[in-house]
Amino acid sequence: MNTIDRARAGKYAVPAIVAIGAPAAAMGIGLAAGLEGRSGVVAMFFVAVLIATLVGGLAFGLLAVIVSYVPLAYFFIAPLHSFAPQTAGVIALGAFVVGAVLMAIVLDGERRSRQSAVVALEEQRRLAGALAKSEEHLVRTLEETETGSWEWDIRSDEMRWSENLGPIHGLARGEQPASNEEYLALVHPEDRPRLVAAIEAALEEGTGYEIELRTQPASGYARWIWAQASVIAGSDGRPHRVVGIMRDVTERKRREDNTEFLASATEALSVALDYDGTVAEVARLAVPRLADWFDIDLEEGERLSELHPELADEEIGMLTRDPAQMRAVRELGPRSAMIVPLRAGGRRLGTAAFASALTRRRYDREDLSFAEEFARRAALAIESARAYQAEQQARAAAERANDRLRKLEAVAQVGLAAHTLDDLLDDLLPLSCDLFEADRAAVLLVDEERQELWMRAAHGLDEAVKAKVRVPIGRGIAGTIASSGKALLVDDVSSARPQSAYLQELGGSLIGVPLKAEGNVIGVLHVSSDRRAAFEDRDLRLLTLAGERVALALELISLYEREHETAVTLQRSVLPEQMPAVEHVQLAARYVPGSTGVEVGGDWYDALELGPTTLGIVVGDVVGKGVLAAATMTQLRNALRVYALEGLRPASVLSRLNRLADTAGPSFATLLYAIVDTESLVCRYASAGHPPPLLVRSEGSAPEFLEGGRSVPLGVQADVGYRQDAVTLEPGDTLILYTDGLVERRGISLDEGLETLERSACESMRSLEELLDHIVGQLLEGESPTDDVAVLALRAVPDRVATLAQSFPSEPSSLAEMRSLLREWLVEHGVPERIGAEIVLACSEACANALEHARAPSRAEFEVAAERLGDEIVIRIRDFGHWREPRDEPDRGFGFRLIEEMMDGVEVRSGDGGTEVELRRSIETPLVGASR
Amino acid sequence: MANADDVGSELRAAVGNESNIVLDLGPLDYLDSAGMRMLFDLSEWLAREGRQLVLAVALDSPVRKVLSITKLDTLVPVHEDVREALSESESPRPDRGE
Repeated sequence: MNTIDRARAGKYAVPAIVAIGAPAAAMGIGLAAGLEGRSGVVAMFFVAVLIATLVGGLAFGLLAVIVSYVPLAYFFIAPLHSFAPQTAGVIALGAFVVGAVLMAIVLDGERRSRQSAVVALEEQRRLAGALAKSEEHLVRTLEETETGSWEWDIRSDEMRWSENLGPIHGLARGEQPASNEEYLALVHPEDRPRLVAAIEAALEEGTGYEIELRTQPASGYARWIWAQASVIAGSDGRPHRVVGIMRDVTERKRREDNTEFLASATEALSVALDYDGTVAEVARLAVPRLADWFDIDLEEGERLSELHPELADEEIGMLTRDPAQMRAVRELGPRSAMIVPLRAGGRRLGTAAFASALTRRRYDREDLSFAEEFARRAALAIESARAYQAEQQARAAAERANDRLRKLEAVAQVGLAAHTLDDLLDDLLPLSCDLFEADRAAVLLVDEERQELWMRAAHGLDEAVKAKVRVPIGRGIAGTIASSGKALLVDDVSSARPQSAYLQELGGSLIGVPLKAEGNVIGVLHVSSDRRAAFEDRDLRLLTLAGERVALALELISLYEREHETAVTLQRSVLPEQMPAVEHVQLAARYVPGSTGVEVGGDWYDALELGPTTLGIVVGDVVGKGVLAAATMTQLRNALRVYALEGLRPASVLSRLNRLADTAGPSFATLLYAIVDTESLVCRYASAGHPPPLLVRSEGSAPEFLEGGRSVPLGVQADVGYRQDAVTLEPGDTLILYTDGLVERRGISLDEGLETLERSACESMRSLEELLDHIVGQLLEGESPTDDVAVLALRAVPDRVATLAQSFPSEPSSLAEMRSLLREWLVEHGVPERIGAEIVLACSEACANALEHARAPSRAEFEVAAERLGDEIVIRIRDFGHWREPRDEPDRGFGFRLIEEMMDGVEVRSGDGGTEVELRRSIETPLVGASR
Repeated sequence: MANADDVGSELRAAVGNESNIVLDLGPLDYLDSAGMRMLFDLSEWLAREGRQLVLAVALDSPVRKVLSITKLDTLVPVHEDVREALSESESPRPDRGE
């Protein structure tokens, strides 16, 4: 037999003995008690079966029934000692057997259920053991991690806490809230609603919750609690209890917060770039997160970290050296404090002090290391801001220096580029103000006769003030500078007894330098500021440099200015103010001075009425510039006038002038002189090396340069036999005389210049003035010429033959008369027939308008004037009535539409005296939109 | 040259009951706004009676441009010579209706 078999045998032995033994015992008791033949013993056998069934189950119960049947039938049911009972006995035995069997069956069911309950119980016990073990472990763990368990009986509102939960809620160990309400009172007021909501939700759903809460800070520094809870339902399915655990997570929370804080602090500090902004940002971050009071001392020397969990009153003094901060921190009443060094890159920046007061926070080592970490980052930020600021400052300083240098260069440039003193000072004085950040700058010049300084120019001063300034040399500030010849820096002008009223009122400060030419003081340059002590020695040195430049420029310019003024005066006196008005001839002239007016050239033009029908015209150019050239030019011009008025022919005039030029000195000139007979339009001319005049014919032939009559320039050789030539002008022809400045320009060849002149002169221009403007514009292209330019043009007026002027009575029959007259005139003037017809039509329409619209005319007539200007026909129709806007259009507006379509230009001028309509039509350009 | 208004009334009298009218402007070298007004009036008068004015004028005539400027050539047919204009005027035209 193996062990299993033995166990199995054992398992059946006991119930079997019971099943046999129990009835046997019942029999023994019955016999012993003398109950033989009594059916009441049945109950005892019932008990035996019951016991057997209970012990061994149904099978053994039934065995017990069978075993019980034998003694029961034999000894206790009549007839005794026989197994064949009588009727009553059979019933009793049957009842026993049935009853016992039923009982066994019922009991067996009962037993089976009890047995499974036992198994469950055992299982439970085993699990409970394991649980207890793990719970023990848990508790130990909980104890170690400050985790506690708790239970809340909802119905009785009773709380049960593990001992360690008291201290993390600011209670003694083992102390605990009696009810949920009391517990809620221990939770931070701000977190309470959250907790209540979580509990309610958990009860509602029968689940649980997990939450992080702070404890009521009244007990001191609030702690963070992590709580987890499960709702336990009773057999009724309703929540009976809530069980859970809580853990103090303050440290973790603090570390998390600290990490987060440091990250955001680093970010915040990296944004603030300027030094002050960074320090302020550090303080902003520290309070109230780290402290209620915070101070950075960036001066303090070596100091190690200090932690003062409890700060004694006498220790407050070490927190700060700043008296104001000291007052502030004392007022707060610090409770706990830390001092940490600020270090960056191994460099000590100072210290940071943290103190808690209101929050009653007690700093610990954890706080200290956090404060150190914070200080490390703050220090880095401060250091980088400091570096940035230093860099900014250095850059700004460099830029300022650079700027000054640039301005100084500008000052120097001004001296070189300016051509007049006004130009120089106009540029220099504002630049000086700019350079020295001053409010005013002025140049005073020495008046030798009066021995005083007068203000030549100023920037930042009224003209009225400027005009009044007179400073005796040797007195006042400028006077002292002038007499001593030394630069002067005045920090406070009011104490220096200035002479000028404006300086007396001004106060502020000033720097001034003498302007010297060949060792003599010729003036004073000074700049002044409204601020006192605005200038440094450095500025004075700079102004001295500027002053030297100015003095040099002043010297050159005054020399130049004197000459220039003389030359300009000469030149102006030479050019005719007005061209003579001569019948049959139009005259126009242009003079364009050379670029920037550096020096006056020797160009001139002149026109002289030599007789009733004789006109002399001249254009000349004296080689050289400046006063000498201007003077020579004047001589030549005057001499020419004399010779011309003597009636000498052009060649003779040139010969005489050549002799004059020869004796006048080493100067030579080119010149073209022409005499025009205004009646015959014969033009005789002679050229002394001068560019050929251009003759522009009004019609027919191309323009031509008159190359004849040319000889050498004046002053080149003595006794030149000057040649002369002649040309006959036609009415409308234009003769253009010019100096070489017009056609000789830098970058353009002479041929190109002459071509441009020829082309631009041919472009249809209505008047001589317009023609000259056009030519000058085309040749100079809007630029100042490098050399002077003189142009003179003469036009033979086409009046006698080229114009039509006729007045007609204001009646319809005049129209036909006008048309035939105009048609004839147009044909005479070479207007193509087709174009002529259109002009006649337009003119007729305009005249019809004049008849129709002119009301209450002062003269019952209208005038028609026609002229041909080059390629253009211009017709003017004039009436003498009041123009009346046509109310109805009897001709459907055809009249005006025809005029507009037929003509190139229509202009209506209406006045009190009447209306003039001007029609223009080119006789060459085909009209746009002409017949198909 | 007679007054345009007179020409207009003479033309109307001459037209009588003829259906379409061909006006030969060939010999004309001057036509002004008054003449144009007369032509417009005549064309409208004919149109009211369901008749049509047809013009004959050479391409190079100065009058042609006047017709174009006043846009009469968009209202009435303009032909280069009388023959062409006559064939146009005889072809049946849709009644303009009144």
